Amino acid sequence: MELEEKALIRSLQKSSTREFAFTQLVRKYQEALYWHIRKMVVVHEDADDVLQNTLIKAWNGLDNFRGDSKVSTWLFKIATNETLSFLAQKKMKAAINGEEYETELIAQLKADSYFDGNEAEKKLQEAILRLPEKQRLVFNMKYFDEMKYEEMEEILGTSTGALKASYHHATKKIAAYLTESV
Amino acid sequence: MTQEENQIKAIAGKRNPYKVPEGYFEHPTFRIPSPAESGSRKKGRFHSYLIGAAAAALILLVSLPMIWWNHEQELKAQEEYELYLYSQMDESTFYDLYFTNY
Repeated sequence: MELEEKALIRSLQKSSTREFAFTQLVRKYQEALYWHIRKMVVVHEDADDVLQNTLIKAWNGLDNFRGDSKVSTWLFKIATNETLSFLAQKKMKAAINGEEYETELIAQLKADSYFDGNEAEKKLQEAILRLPEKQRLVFNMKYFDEMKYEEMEEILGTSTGALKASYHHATKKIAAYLTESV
Repeated sequence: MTQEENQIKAIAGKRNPYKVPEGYFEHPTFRIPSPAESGSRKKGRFHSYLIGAAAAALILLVSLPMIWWNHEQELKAQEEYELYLYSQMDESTFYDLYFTNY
């Protein structure tokens, strides 16, 4: 573990420096966390809500953070859990109304004013939104963020083998969708 | 990089196509919750437990006398029914019933 990381963990554990250290932590990781969430929930306002909840959960759970993993891994783990529970709630609401949440997400993507992708990029996002949630997460983390499988393993609690298989399936489905629609 | 990855990259690239409102990352909206807020959350949770316990105690308090009253009523009805049966018997049946069975 790097010296800087160790110092940060020490500051987070001390009550006198906790607030300052956490503010630094938010500054350092909020953008990466936001994009991790946004690619899953699509809409900016939803991503902002989930990010706020993630940071509140992290702040309230500081006493439970023992420094066994990297701070960033711990934060991404919380963000992933928050995102998945947000999506589960949305899915449940959509099911009650007899709709499919994936279709709703694609419609939201098309109407999103905070999306400036070209046609091919839009198609790629559509293909990603058609994947099962875990595959979407794996694909985004590997393809866009170029995250290592070891780190993904810690965040998602899934073995490297399973992650590789998941990524392989995701890329196959996406490539097929893109080549079909071109 | 696999063949599929190359295909995806060639068609759609790797750029993040989403954007945020101007200045979103420069002016973060998150603020650390004050101890009072955390306290009120804890207090709120304790409060709901307390309400639950009070409701359970109230239900118990109301239902216990009702159960007891029902039981008393059942006994009373049974007694009345037996008295009615006896009143319908003639003397010889009553005599037979008591002196042959007991």
